[in-house]
Amino acid sequence: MRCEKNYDIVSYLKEELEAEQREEIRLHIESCSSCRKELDRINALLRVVGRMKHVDSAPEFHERVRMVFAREHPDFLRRVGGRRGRAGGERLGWWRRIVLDIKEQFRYVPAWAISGCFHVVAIAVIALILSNVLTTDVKKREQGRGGVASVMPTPDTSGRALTPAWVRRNEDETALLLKSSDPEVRRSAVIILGEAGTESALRHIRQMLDDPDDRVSSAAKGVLDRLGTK
Amino acid sequence: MTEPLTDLELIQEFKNGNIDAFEILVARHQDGLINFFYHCCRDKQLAEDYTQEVFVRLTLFLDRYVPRAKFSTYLYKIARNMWIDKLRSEKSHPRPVSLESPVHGGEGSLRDVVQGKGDAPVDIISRREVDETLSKVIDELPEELRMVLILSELHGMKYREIAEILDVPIGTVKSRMHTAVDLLKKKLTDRNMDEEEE
Repeated sequence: MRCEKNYDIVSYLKEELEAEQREEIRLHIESCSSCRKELDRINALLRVVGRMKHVDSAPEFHERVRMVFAREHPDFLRRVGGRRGRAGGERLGWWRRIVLDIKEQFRYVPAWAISGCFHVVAIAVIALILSNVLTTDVKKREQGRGGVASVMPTPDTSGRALTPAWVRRNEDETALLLKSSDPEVRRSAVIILGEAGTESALRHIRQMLDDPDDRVSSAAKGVLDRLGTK
Repeated sequence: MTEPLTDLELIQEFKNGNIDAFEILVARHQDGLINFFYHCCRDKQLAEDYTQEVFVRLTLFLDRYVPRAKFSTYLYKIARNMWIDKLRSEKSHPRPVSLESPVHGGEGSLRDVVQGKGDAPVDIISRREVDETLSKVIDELPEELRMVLILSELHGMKYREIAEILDVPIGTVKSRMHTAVDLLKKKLTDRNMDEEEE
């Protein structure tokens, strides 16, 4: 006997009903042989329809689409901003292709892994740059604060570096050279301080009269004699 | 795991002039579209030609595409509109079908499926012959019902997607699907009775 409920069994099978409605039909079907039979019948029919022949595209289909595309829309690539393709479909933008290929290759790699790699590389690059900057800065500071090379007069700048004004400005740094283990450096420092001619410079030079190396003590004596004081 | 390149990403690449992105889109959707047209026209060569045309049309309409719906939905909308155009220009006339077409060496028939006889009709019947018979019955359905049946059963689409493709309310899809199944059963039964009388 045909059931009078007339439920939407198709939507029930397709799982397109609200949960409440679905449950109502499910309970009804359990107790109604007519609806159960109708459900089996529709289910079998839909299964047959769903399993009908499936066709695969021809191997050359992809190529054909590309050729038709290039033939029908030769100006398309120019319109969208790319270079114009020739018939048959020119592959454009090698860099884009590489990027696309890479993305395709890594499409199943976890996003966090790719992101992590980028972060590590970025941090390494920043660390490298900072390290370079700091090293350069330290070197500059070292040179400015007492490096021998910065204080010692160089042959090409001696005219300017040994002016009394320069020595007076750099008197303390120059005086440090008097403690050098190299007698030639100590002698040069004595001569340089002599250019300054200040009281403190003379005091430093006087101390060098007792220097164990004759070249240094002679230089000190010479400077003091030239300046008329001992 | 990361998501595969989305259709939207590929479209953006394509808009930037990358034809490789277009080719990936074609590869991704070509089989679905070919089968859609195949079940509309029952001609594989024609189905491939129509599918090509869909992709060409896609390039023309791409600027108008607004990613509100799934890209595949948009693609099938183009396909469906194109098929309607084709129907208007060339009407097809399906041949009559016999419910007594032998299946599985004569052990069953499509009538068994319709009447719910047999243990598991789908498992025992010959796929090829049922395909031929059922295809012809489906071809006799009104176009709007046939389209819903194809998209739902052969492409596994939900009513919501079908509604977007056909541009009708979900309720209409539901009702068309219901009617399509009823009509399919009726047609098969009628044919069976006609042949029994003969």
